[in-house]
Amino acid sequence: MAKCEFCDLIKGKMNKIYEDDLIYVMLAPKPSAIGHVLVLPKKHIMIIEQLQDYEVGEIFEKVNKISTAVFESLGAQGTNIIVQNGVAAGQSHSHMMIHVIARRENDGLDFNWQPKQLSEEEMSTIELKLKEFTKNIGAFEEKPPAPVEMEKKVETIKEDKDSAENYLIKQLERIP
Amino acid sequence: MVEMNTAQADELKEKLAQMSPEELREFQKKQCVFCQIIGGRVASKKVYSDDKCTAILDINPANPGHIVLLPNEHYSIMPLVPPEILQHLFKVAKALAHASLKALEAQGTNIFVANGIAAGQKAQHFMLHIIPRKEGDDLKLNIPERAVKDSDLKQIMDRLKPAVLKSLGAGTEGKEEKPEEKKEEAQPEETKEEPQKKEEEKAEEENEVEEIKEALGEEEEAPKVVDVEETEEPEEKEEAPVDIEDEVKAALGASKPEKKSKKKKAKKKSKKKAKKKEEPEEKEEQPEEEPEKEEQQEEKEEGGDVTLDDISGLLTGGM
Repeated sequence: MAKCEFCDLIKGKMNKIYEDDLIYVMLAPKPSAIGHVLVLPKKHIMIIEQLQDYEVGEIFEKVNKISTAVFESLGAQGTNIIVQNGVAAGQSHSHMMIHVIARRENDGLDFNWQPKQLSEEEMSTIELKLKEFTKNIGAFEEKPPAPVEMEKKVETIKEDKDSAENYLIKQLERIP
Repeated sequence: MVEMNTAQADELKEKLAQMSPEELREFQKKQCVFCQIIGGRVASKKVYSDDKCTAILDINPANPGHIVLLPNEHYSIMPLVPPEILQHLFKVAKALAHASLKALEAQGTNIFVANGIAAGQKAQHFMLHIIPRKEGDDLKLNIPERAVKDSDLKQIMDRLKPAVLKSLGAGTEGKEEKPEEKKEEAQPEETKEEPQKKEEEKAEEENEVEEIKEALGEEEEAPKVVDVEETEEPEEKEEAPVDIEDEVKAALGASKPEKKSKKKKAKKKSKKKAKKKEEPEEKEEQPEEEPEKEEQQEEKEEGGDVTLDDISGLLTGGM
């Protein structure tokens, strides 16, 4: 894997606000506003799809708290939370990150888009195409229990089976 | 959206003024287009729905395939969304982003949340935007970068870090680096949970006195650094938290629970009070900040050219 600028920043505890096993929270070195926070998964991944579902849930629950902290401590009037997935979406670093940006009126930032005009037919086509792929959504990856326990359980079950089989075989042998 | 004339608007304003917070919330729900969409009373192109959330195609899309993901329950802003719903929403958002990559041959996706009018929030129903991206689309969602002085970053850090640590806990930091501080922080907070209510009542009466005390507390630490610029700083700092809360409420137009903010105020104040009693000479805001502040002061003495005016102006948003 090529060298990652942000993995190095995490190692160097650059602009660190908070850190746990899952995420590293830092002030953006080149902020777009007074209060531009980057939330990075600690492990090096590029896009959100590489995160487990439960990790996504946990991370964004924390992002919400960080966003609230930005409100309260920096006197922001709003926050934007932005994820750029892929170069086409504006991603400029190979490490996935979530931007939490404090917003104030007339702060010079503009994330508003010009709405595109689509015909009813185009919209319906998109709807059908998307539905094809969204019908399987629902089974989310759960946080796995600690691996050590799993192994133990498997072993014990095996032993039980063996002993049960032995018992049955012994019984069979006795029958005649 | 329904447009109304001025007479109707005035009538509505009167009605709203007379409503209790609960009624107001119910009223918001009834008026909310997205609640009606979720309930099926307004037509939409639903691409996904379950018991907690509904995803529809945005009728004013930033790009073809722009999805809006809504919690089925009405929450006006993100901080009001319960954690389990929020987790579910973002899990679904991840899956939807993946679906739009596959279904629409997108090359990337943006997941976008606007919290508050200043951030571009247009509806009173919290929502997530999932926008498929293709190279060369004319969508400008770039996040600009600005070069900022280290001293300015440090100021932001000093305000933000305690707030983040307060809401997220100490993380791994507490274990590895500052075990003593963590203990210090935990103890006063626990003991203050009970007297907090009394403080709340007192806080209102003694508001003015407290504010002066606060101002004094902050003046105490500020003038150590720079002369002329600093004398203006405490005033702004002292005003900032009060204005901010009003403005956040106003900006969000949300029924943010008042108790919460009051409690927080009371908490802050009680912290300061307790601190002043214990160590009247030091007058630091919070115990966890102590070592950082010392560092900061050292740095400032060395650096000298601190543009506090600039940053405080920015922090208060030109209020």
